Amino acid sequence: MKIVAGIDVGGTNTDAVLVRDGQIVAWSKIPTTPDVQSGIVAALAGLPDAALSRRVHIGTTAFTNALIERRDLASAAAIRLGKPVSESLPPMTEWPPDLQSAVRNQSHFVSGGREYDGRPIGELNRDEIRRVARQLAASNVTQVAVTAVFGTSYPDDETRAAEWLVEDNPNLQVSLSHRIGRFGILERENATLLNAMLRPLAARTLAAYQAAVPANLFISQNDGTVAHGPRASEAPIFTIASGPTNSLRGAATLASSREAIVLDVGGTTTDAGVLHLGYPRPAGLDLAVAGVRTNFRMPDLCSIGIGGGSLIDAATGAVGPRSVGFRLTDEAMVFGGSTLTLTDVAVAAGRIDLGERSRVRLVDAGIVARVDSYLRARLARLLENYERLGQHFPIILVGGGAPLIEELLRGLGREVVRPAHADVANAYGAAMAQVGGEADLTFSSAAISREEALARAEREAHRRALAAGASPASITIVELEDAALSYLAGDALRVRARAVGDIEDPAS
Amino acid sequence: MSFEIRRADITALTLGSTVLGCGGGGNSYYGQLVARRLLSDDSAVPVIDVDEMDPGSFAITPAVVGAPLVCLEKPPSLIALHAGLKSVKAALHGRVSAFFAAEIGGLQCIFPLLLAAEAGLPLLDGDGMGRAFPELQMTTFAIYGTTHGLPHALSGDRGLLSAGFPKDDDPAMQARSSDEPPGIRFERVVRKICAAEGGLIYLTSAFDRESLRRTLVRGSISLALRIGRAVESAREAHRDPVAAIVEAAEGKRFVAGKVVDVERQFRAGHDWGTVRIEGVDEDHGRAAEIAFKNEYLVLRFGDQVALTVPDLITLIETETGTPVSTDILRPGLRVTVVGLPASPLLRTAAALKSVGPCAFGYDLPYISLK
Repeated sequence: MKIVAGIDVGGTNTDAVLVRDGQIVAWSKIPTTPDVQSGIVAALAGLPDAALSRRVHIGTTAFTNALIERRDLASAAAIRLGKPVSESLPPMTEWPPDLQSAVRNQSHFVSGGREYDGRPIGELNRDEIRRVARQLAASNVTQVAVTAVFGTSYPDDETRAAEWLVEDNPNLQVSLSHRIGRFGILERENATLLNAMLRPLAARTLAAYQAAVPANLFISQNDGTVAHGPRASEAPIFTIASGPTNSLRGAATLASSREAIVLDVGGTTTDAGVLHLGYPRPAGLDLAVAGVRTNFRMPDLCSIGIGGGSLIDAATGAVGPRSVGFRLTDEAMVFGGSTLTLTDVAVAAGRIDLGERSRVRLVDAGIVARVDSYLRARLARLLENYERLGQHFPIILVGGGAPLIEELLRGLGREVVRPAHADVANAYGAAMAQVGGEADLTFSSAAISREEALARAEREAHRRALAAGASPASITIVELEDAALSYLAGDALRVRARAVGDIEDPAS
Repeated sequence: MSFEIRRADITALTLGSTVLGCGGGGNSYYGQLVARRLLSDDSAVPVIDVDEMDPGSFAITPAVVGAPLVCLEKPPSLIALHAGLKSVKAALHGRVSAFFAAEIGGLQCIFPLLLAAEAGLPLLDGDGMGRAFPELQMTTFAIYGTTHGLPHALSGDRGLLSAGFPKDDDPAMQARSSDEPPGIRFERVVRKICAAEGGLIYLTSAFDRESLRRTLVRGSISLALRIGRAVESAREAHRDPVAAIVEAAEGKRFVAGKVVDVERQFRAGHDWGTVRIEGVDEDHGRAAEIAFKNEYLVLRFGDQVALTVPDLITLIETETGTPVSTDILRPGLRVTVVGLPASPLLRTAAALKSVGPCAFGYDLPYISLK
């Protein structure tokens, strides 16, 4: 029997769920407290038998907020291995000026790094690293981001530089680019530097979380997996986009679906995302974090301006994008207001029972029909973004506005699932998360076939999932892709694999 | 007709050049960053027509040769650019009056801009392709017999690798087996050196004014800027950015849809594949298929070939107007397929041997936009 508590610390509410063998057995929702920890304690206290859980998984926006608000950030040093390659783009190129001035970051270029085929650009130099370590000691910088040219494929130089730095100055904490980012030196270095800047805050915050929970602490990450507390405090940057990921995965898992479209109908918008093999399909574009370009991926989300508070044009049936938003209970007609909203139309059509129905008796069948035909067209177009011709994924409907469009979707011939507990989907997504590992490698493939390259990436991802705490039998590969380094004779290959697995709890 | 490029124009220029890159030409993001670092706010690079060059003078084109993916770990090398320039300049004894891009599509337009700004010389409004192509023999210079530049230099991260000072009447320069396109031997040799030198080298070449007047695809810098600015102003005004591109470049909108399938394979150092697009909204029910080899080459609707190389087939993200390169294709992307006419210099019988469908292994006639 596995008992896990999942907590989502949102801007407004802190939600907690207790999950036993995949089923929610208790949940609680309390206002987020300024110190966060006491909210976590209170949310857990609201769960009977919370003490039975072996693990607590927490989804947090603490580090995203610190970056956006430029507070509690540490000064860090960027060390680039690969001199003279990449000198034209020094660290922190085109960072927002206010972020640059919030910290006293510094940069060093030293020898090291590799070519695509593994040949050294220059040898890592012990004396050069020692000089850098001395300078860092003199300027009281303890956080270091080390980035080598082709470091994702050939991480040895980064690892050795870190060993030497700590040998010379035991106070240093080193973030290594190959553990943080992907191919693309500047975006990877950006992410590694942001990570270094967050580490002291992460150590304090996660220690406080751990003190607040009576079990093993795991933290939600961007890719839908969780990391064990000590690992998470070494890589806080991985939490940066975990919110939307938890929401999509939570909804899909509640509905027992691995291939589905999730529609979250709120007051102002309907947000859509799609799951493949149980994980959100990522968007193609790079993610800017606090104005800094990184190469993390966000879930591919689409938003349309249709929600419970959306304004209705009675003549045309057009819905939104303007909305009364949180003023719904003052301004909607069923609540005594004078604005015709989508909620009013749903009440008039008998789809929901809210407020006073008598206030919308002037909303006749003609208006309902016009609104319905508008909604059908917009929803069909939204779904079209995620489906091929003739292909239909089940739709998982969550959010307060779900009843507004459920009947319409069924009318379009769609399979609709409205899971119970959808309002704590984020916390459930956190609770149900697995652990994972990713490998992003390049091979000079004169000597190695594409199949062998893919197999090596799979093995490496598998190894990293294991190191993250996955039970060996449960590990599966959820992403596998390759791309050629075109224009090079001999087909140099880049391969990427991601593995996930269930967390192996220590025997009790 | 001359105008100036300023630091603030770099985004529009590279956006337009990426549209003209037809899915290839390399990611220009790092190039843009370098250009914005090196150009001061008050620097202005004059752009002139090739006719305005001093008689008897030369223009220099710096270019990068290699794998676009390697560029993501090895950003533009100023050491390499300066070493190539120094070598070629020395051989010309000061008769340099301008810089220009060998390839407008993608990353390459940045390098001549950087060197022109540093040298205080103008940039020519033109290039050797009017788009992006994968190989050196696919320039109008190679097609019309000016080979790869006289003189030229190869350089890398640590400086000069080699320098060539051939004469244009040298019989060795002309020697080739009759059915091969001109310039292909040089391409093969450079590619070997490139692979041995970390996957990325820089080729700096000089061309004389008279050769350029004959072979340059004119107006491509101003076209790239026009496209980039059109997209930027459409975005600001919340107008359709794809329509803005079509209008600015006198192109044709073929279909708006979503990517449903991408098949790729890697053969002989190139990224070959097919992308399938299903129409949405007003194009609902239409399905397009585009074959690519680094760049988009052949557009089909069912069995019907709608457009082929050398005309420009370009994919634009429908909502943002951002061009979509072949390496970021993935299911779910919402794109519009736009065709743009190739330069008349690429549409002659001689040019089609080097850059027509058959040059890429397709047994198809050239289907043009016009």
